[in-house]
Amino acid sequence: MSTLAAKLENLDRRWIFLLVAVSVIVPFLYPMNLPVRPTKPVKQAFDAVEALAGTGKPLLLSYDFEPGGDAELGPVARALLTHAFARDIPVVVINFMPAGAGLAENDLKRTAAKFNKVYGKDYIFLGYNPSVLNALLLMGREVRDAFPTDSTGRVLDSYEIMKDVHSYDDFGLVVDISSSIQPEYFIRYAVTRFGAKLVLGATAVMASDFYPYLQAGQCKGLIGGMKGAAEYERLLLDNNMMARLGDGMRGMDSQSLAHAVIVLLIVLGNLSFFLGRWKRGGHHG
Amino acid sequence: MRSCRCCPVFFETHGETWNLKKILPVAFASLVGLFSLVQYFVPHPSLAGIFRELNRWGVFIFAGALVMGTISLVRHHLQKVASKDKNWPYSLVTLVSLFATAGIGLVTGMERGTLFNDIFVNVLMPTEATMFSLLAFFIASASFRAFRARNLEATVLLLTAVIVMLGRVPIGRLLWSGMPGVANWLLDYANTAAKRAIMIGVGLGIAATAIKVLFGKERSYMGDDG
Repeated sequence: MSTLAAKLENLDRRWIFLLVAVSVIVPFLYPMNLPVRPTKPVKQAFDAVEALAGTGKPLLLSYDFEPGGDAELGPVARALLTHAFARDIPVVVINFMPAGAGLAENDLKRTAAKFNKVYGKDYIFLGYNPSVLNALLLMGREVRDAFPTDSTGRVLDSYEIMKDVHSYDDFGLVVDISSSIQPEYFIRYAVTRFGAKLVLGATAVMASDFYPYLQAGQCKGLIGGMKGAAEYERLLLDNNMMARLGDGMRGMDSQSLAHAVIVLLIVLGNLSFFLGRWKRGGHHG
Repeated sequence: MRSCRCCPVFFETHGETWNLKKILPVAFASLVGLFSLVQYFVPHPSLAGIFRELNRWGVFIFAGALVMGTISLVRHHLQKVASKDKNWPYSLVTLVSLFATAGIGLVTGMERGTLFNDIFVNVLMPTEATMFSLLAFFIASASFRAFRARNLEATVLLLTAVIVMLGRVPIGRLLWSGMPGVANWLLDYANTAAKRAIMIGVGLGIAATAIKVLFGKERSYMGDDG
């Protein structure tokens, strides 16, 4: 018993790293296809986007994450874009993190191409603004004050999609997908001050921060990390808006196994702790 | 209070020396802060117009801060390279990457298919993703070494973490069908109650600090301890 405790106590951490690596990689090679059931916050987000269909009002999507958060939030953004394009909802994309502009540009063009959407008519990318706070306040009255041109430098009035779009009132829904503090600003300014209807996408570790806003109705839906993306993709599949598994559902097997491995490590760590304490107690006794 | 004729000292009060260098930024911050507060409650078009201009300035100031940050970064690394400090080759890599990426972006543009975009997709994205993914390994190692049920509080935290971790992924339902329900209950009630308490505390703290800034009592934003 004491040998087991000593072995666990002195376990080389490279074995732990190897175990985690295997648990993440193997499910990508041999998918388990674990069932994904949409939760209420994700269903609410889906319904909020669905309600835009046929209204002609665009969806404002803020791409506030950088490549570090792409594995988690990229699938969220792509699922939302797929939903919007499948339902012919115009999409206006903005961005408040410098390296997020590249992600937005790539995801937007790739997803739009799948649905034969036209830039300037069905979607537009307004580019990066360095000051989220000032931009959100300016957009409450006139989008052009915060984003005078799109990301290519052309004035917004030259695009059909922006013809009647001036403030939050003209957007059917605002979605912020963020790995940082931007959702707080969206809640404080876009929602509280200007009455925008907001849905949030956040990394799994940050999603719990936004539950109070969800319960208070300040945010209409919440998509938390890759799990949230997988749930959203499930809803898209069930509603025939997606032909095959997306990145979120593909990643769920890995995430499941990695979580199970971490729980196993916690159990083993505590086993070693209690065995060690029992042994020390025996010696003292 | 004692006035002083010799510049730059303007007057002294409560043991503090005030001069224009100190008074002007505080007065400006107070004025803009009070105006922003007042216009929130007075929807007159003239106030909205001034507020719009102030916000446009705000965007320029933030953009200026990015430029200042870049200048500071370049100066810092140039000094390290010039004096051949420890790890100076990394500074050289930083400088070369910075100028090469920015230069290529300015020449080719940033759209898909450009060299800039190729650098972004094939260098920056995998590098940042790798850095972020290392967290999984460190969390796994830390959970084994440090997450111990030493006392009642730690045990409650540990059990909660295990339930939420398993309940939030599909494997949790396979282990026990009630796991997602318990995890969601913890997020909806226990988590939200605690978060609300913290948020209300933070909100009150922000309001108190804002009042101190408006009245010039809090000046740490000027690099002033007073």
